[in-house]
Amino acid sequence: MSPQMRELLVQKQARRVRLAALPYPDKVRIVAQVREAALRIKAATASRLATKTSFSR
Amino acid sequence: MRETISEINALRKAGVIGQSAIGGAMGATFYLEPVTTFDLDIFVLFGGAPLILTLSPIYEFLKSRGHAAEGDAIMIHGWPVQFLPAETPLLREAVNEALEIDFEGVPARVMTSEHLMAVALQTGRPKDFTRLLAFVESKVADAARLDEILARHRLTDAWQRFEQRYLSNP
Repeated sequence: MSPQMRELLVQKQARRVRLAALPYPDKVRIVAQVREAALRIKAATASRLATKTSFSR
Repeated sequence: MRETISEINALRKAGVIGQSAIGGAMGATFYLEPVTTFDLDIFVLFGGAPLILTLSPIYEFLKSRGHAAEGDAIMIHGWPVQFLPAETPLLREAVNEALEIDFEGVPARVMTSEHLMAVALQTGRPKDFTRLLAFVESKVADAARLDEILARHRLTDAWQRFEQRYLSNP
């Protein structure tokens, strides 16, 4: 593994530690935001798939 | 989620459920970095019957307060909440020994990190092992307490298999 990649992994781990140390309500708010984003992506993907399906008919 | 927890507390106050605790991904999030999840798992003890056959009293109570069922969960102030009977000895212990916390002025209960780990090990799906690895890496759990729980619930062998598979150096 290159030193740059190793450093990136160290930074990622440090970020996870910082996130874990946040107060619980703050972490819950992050989960809620991620959940909303994931649902929007899912809805967009579903409508795109539906469009593709209608094209293929 | 403050309002969601308030409604769960109302269930307890009305005697619909016994003691309860947050488990699953939202429970793990108390100790770890935020984890992606779509629902809030509430493990519930029921005072009377050892095993309740239906969760309909919970749903009826919450529907009367304006919350709608959505699939296998019930939507409470924007959070899909899944009520799960604490029907194994491990889950009952996890609920009874949950940590009392204050969530922005509202009392809540979260399973201890050691119980969350034991439950994940017992459940044994790939995502449970992922969560278990995150717990191991974070070192938030008390190893002696975890060992006691694993031994009490006959999970020591399962833990050793997990260690051999995921934690031993090649």
